[in-house]
Amino acid sequence: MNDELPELDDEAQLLLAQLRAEEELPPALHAAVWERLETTAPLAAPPPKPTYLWWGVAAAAAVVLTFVGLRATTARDGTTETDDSHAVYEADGGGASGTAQPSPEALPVRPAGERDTSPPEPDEEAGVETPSPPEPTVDDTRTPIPAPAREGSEDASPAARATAAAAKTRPRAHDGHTTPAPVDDEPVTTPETISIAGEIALLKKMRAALNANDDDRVLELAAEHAKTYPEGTLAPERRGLQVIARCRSGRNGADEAAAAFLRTHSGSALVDRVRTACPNVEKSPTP
Amino acid sequence: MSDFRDGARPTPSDEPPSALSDVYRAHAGFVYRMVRRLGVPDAALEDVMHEVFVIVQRRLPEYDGRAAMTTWLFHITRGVVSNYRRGERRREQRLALVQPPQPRVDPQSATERKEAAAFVREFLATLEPGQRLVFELAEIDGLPMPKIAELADVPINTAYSRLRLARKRFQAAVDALRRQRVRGAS
Repeated sequence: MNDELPELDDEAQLLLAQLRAEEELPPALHAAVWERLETTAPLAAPPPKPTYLWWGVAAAAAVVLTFVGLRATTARDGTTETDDSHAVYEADGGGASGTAQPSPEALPVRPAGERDTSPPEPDEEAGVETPSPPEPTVDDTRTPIPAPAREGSEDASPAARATAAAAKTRPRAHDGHTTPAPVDDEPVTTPETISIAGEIALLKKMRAALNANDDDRVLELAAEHAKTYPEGTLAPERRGLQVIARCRSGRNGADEAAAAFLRTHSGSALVDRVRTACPNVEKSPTP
Repeated sequence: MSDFRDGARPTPSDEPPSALSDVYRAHAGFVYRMVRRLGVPDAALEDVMHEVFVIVQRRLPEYDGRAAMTTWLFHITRGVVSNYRRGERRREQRLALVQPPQPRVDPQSATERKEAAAFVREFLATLEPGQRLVFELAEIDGLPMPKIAELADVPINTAYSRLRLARKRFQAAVDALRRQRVRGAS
């Protein structure tokens, strides 16, 4: 089925590449949405540990108060019944013979024998005297959100540069052919004129070399592109192809370069291809 | 671009993520493109994206990895955009406002990239929706065909057929553009 598909020519593919570059998620929006997600209430839910602590404190308080209440009741009544505190809430309490079981109405003012305070009902007391623990929610079971996404400094810069470059007017200029430079994204010089036509031609060659598995040639052309069009419109595409070639040819630092690409161009359509070419790429802790 | 469609090979981004940050890091761009493509105006992109990921956050514990993450996100995004549109329609009916015309790209001042993107978008607008979805997912998002067929909810042969037709039409449009340039130059 795949073989029957008509292939698009280079110009058609480059038009699509330009649309992909245009549709890349702007770093500012990427950061803004994440920031809002971080401040959304469910994400700010307390971690489970304090919740369980409060429940533990409440249970301990209930046990202690139950014990104290039973002791006080026993001392007052001179009986060893252990369910006295529950008996006071029995509906038929008022009909009892009277010496040991007061009516429910008498509870608030019931004398407490040797103590000043009446023995509280354990469950109610736990709810009154200890801070009420927050109800566990579904959110409590979620994996906590990791450290804030601080991508402004490192993520925004390259893509922002690309965006800024896209905003520039690009007068037509030469199709720069220079001697190969070391593979590096950092611009050597900043040309005053940037030609989209020259970029397209270079990217076309890069893609052809990549398809021919000529990774050295891809890296040469990438260096040439980086030198001639450091802020070119197609710089993100160049970086992606460059990373793929570096990973495929097993260059030193390829995984780090891939991780950097995935951080700074998380919206690129080349993301999946980079991940496929660089299976060992480490995930960074934040988006 | 044939290397985009290299089968159903799972990518790391298809593995069940453990946290929202993983999903966001790997797929925010995909969601952004989907939201834009489904017609959400620029001013509402942030709100809609935020809503999508709030739902992702809430439902992430239910995600078992049986469907690809992109498929899962695609359905959530489509639902959120659908809700957004309903809300917008209601608002428009209440206010009885006429939709302002979309700003057109000025060929004199726009960058060449914007012009190229505008050309492709104009072409996309001429495709029928099913064909357009397949073409976009294949040629712009680079998804493999089995996944595209799943997202478009069509048999894989239908997806290939749609892509084939859309490609032919796109190539024809590019050829026409080329001829137009040649005529303009001469």
